Parts: sequence; structure tokens; C-alpha cells
Amino acid sequence: MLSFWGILVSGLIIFAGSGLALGAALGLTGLLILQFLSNGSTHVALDAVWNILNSFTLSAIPLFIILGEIMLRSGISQKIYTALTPVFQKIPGSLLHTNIAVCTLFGAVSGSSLSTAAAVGSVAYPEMTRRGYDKQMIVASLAGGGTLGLLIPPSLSLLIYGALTETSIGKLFLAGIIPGLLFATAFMSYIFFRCLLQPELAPKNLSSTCKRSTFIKIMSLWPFILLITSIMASIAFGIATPTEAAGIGVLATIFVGYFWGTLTLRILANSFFYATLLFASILFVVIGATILAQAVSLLGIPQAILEGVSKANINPILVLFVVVVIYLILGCFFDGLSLMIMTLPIVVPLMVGLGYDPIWLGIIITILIEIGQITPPVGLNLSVLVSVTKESVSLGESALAAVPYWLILLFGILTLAFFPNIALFLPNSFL
Amino acid sequence: MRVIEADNKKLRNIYYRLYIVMEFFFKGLAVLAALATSGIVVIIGASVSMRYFALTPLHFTEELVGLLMTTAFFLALPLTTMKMQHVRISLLVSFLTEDKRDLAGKIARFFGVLFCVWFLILCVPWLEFAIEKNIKTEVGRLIMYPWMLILPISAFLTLIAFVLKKPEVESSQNRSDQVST
Repeated sequence: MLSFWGILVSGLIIFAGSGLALGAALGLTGLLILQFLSNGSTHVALDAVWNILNSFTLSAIPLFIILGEIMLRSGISQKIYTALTPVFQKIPGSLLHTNIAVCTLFGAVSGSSLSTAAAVGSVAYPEMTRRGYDKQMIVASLAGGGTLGLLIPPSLSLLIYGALTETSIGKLFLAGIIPGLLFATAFMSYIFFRCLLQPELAPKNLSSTCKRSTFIKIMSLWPFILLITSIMASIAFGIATPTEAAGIGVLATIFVGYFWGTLTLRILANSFFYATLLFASILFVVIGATILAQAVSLLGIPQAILEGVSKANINPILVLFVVVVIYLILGCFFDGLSLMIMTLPIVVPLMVGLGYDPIWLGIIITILIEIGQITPPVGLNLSVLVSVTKESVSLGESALAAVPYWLILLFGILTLAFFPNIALFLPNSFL
Repeated sequence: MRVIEADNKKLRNIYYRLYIVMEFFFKGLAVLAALATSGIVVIIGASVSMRYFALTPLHFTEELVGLLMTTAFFLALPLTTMKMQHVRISLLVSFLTEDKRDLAGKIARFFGVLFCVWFLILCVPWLEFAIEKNIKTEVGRLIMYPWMLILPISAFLTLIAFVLKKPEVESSQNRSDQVST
């Protein structure tokens, strides 16, 4: 056990710390463990990689990435933003609420926290700074809102979690809906009260828009709403698998982008090209983690930890608390998805062995990695938004402004720990 | 002295040209990867249509989609590696001075090559076995070794991509260059 932890920790520090691609670092560590602690059975690594790559479930990942890329490049996010702008005009916080609402909607198709923050941020930031909104407040709302992309289905993290732990993706997607919407509501409530106390953060828009034109603008979103509904409903009601829903979603997005957005053949080709590169970079981490997971499971590490916890008679709540703290700390240094992929082989068997529901656990882990997305120094949502602002808001300032969203997410974990049915109600009702 | 300088310049030119050629080649492979992903969309679209409209589902969809995804990933891997678009932990490296950062970059490249070599060595008997037994997929009976062949080829090309990285690009790499979600 000691030699395992020695190789694992030193391997990760040396390989990943040198700046090597994380996938290769994880893979090398796994191969070393297999070579020296598992009688040289490195050949199992290749079988594991082949099996995971040929998983039909996992093939939904490139499709959802393509879907998000097409949305981003064909001007659809701009259209959604414009349509939702008058909705929150009279409420304190105004366009800050629009940020959250658009992130929620965009998250319902993109599946990625970073692309949600980038897509909405690039549209919202210039417009809002022009109108005199507080820059830090804008960035924080976008960083917080962007995290919804990972929780509201379709979600890349839930997809990967489901594929790697053999948990129903449909159930995971359904489980993410209520917590995602509750977080959106909590973010909006925070913005409302903050702007009520400090009105200078969000200047009031004095121009009036009639209800009819607002309604028409919202109704103009029907192709997008139809797209979201068709993806969600086809998965929820078992009409299509997540991969099929993603594939049809891509075809529908091309259609919507062409007739409703500014999609051209060149933009479409670029979307496929860049989505494939992004997918390759994510899958490389999955492959490295698969090799490591194979080594970990061959040595029976999760079982050994579980036995240790059982023998020590440690309260499962305490174990959950430790897991949360570990994720919060590691979230400062690792990108969210990589962190999740790396830790699943140990955390999931341990927690499920202690009696936690795997669907509920998937949601908790996703929220934890969402927190990592807005935690410096690696918090990628913050980094991408800082570059959207052309560094007029520093990483430190944006991190500080995002603290309330960080706390809301953490409070959400606490709430879900006490009321797991918030997440489990929909999957238990539908599937 | 002038002769040595001229030789160095010549070597740098050769290296630069080699880099450009390989970059072009890797871009071509990435375009093929993008075509493979678009193939996934087409097959899924066809499969769902056949299931609901013609009531005759394509029985090989799941297997072919998996194989296309594998192909897409391994075809895109060399360019992703060459362009340093992988997820990396740059926190420790960012604390180093410029010289030490270059050294760390070289060490990282060495580890990358090591991983590719190890992967390549593992691929050989695995592929030989598949060819020898003429392994096919369970449902669609698709011959697997042509698809499996992409693994060692990609490992070899990724190895080259690790070696060919431009050091100055590597040293100035910052967090925002990372690809993640």
C-alpha cells in the first residue's frame, strides 16, 4: 500500500509537475504501477484503453462538444442574449440576471462550463461595460453562471462520470436539472439583493419596452427551446440514448444555425475541426486516467481503503466531508474534468461502498468541480473571462468577486447532503 | 567559426522545414479526424432514422461509432500534442525562471516520448494477436485490426510531435493556452 501511494504521488508530482500533458502523466504513472506492483501486467492497460475508447456512451462527448462549438460560432448565443435582455430590465441587477438566464439556457445545450462562460461572456461583457455595469460584478456573474453548463444537462462531466462508473447517463442528466435550476435561482437572488443594496453596481435602464415586444422576443427563441426540449425529452423518456440525442442534436443545431443564426459551410467545418481537437485533448486525459484506474483496481486499492474506513468505524458523513475538502483543495490546482477523471477510480467505489447513491454522488462531484472552475489559481472560468475582459479585471479581482457564487455552490452541496431527493426526485420519478 | 555558424543555420533551417512539413501532415490527419467525427453524426442520424422510419435499425451503429471515435481521437492526437493543446498542470512550471522552465519543458518532452515508446511497445503484440486471430466486432463482424493499426501509428507520430515542439513556444505557454472545459 505504501509503495503504491509512493509511486502514485511521486509519479504525479514529477510527471504532471514538469508540465507534461496530463493524460501522458497519468498514463505513465499507471504503467509504472502496473509494471512494478502488478507483476509487469502492463498489457492490460491497452485493453482498458481500447474498451473505453469504443464505448458508445463516451462517443456522446465529441458530439456535445461539436454542438456547443456550432452554437458558439454561428451567433446563436448573441441571439439568445438579445432576446432575453428586456426580460429582467425592471429588476435590480437587470442584465446580470440575463447573464445567469442565458448561461442556464446555453448550458442546456453546450455541456461545458468553459464554453458557456466564454460564449456568453464574449457577448455580454462589451455590452454591459458600455452601459456602466460594475466590471467585477459582470465577470463574477458570468463565472458563476458558466458553472451551470456542467450541471444542467447535457453535461460533459456527468457523461464522463456515467461512462467511467457505468451509471445511467439518463438518470444523471435528470438528476442535474433541479439542482442546476436552484443554483440559477440562488445566483439571481444574490444578484437581486446585492444590487438592491448597492444600486451603483447595475445602472437602471430607463428605456421602456412593452410587454408585447418582450413576449415576441422570447417567442423568437422557439427554435432554440425546441432544440433543448428535444434533446432533454428524448433522453428522459428513453426515446434515444444520450449519444443518439447528441447526434440528432448536432443535426438540429446545424439546421437551426443555418436558418436562424449565421452558420455557413466554413463555420461548420471549423466547428468540427476545433471540436475534434478539443475532444482529443479531453480524451487524452480520459485515456491516462483509464490506465491509472486499471492499475488502481487491479491492486484493489478502493476496497482496501473501504475496509480501512469500515474497520476504523468512521462515520460516512465524515468521509463525505473529507472528500469534499480534498476536492476543494485539489480544485485549486487541477482543471475540473481532469480532477474528476483522476479521482473517480478511488472515490466512487469508496463512497458507493459506504452507501451513497452513485447518481447523487455524480451531482455532488460535478458541483465540486464547478467550484474548482471558479477557484484560483487554475479556475479556468475565471481565466477565460479575464481574457475576455482583456485583463481589465485581474484574476485576483474576479476570484474575489466570485466568492459569493463559490459559497452558494458550497451551500448547495450541504443542502444536497441533507436533502438528496432534490437531485434524486426526477430520476426516480421518470426512469 | 563561420563554418560552424553556417552549419548551425543550415541545421536550424532543416529543423524548421521539417517542423512545417510535419505540422502540415498532422493538420491533414486532424482534418481526417474531423471527417471521422462528422461520420459519427451521419451514422447516428441514419441509424435513428432507420429505426423510427424504416423500422430496420442499423445493427453495427454502436460498434462503428466507437471505432470512428477511436480513429478520430488518434488522428487528432499528434496535432494536439504539437500545438500543446493538451490539459497540463503549469502551476509548478510557472514559478520557475525562464532557463529552468526551458529545462522543465525538455524533461516534459522526454516523459512524453517515454510514454509514447511504452505505448508503442505494448501495441505490437496486441496488434499481432488481433491480426493472427482475425478479430472481428461482436455484432457487426467488422474486422478490427485495420482500426487497431491506428494506435501504434498515432503513438509513433505523437512521439515525433513531442520531439518536434518548439522550445520557445513551450516556455511562453501560459494557463490560458490550455484546453479544458
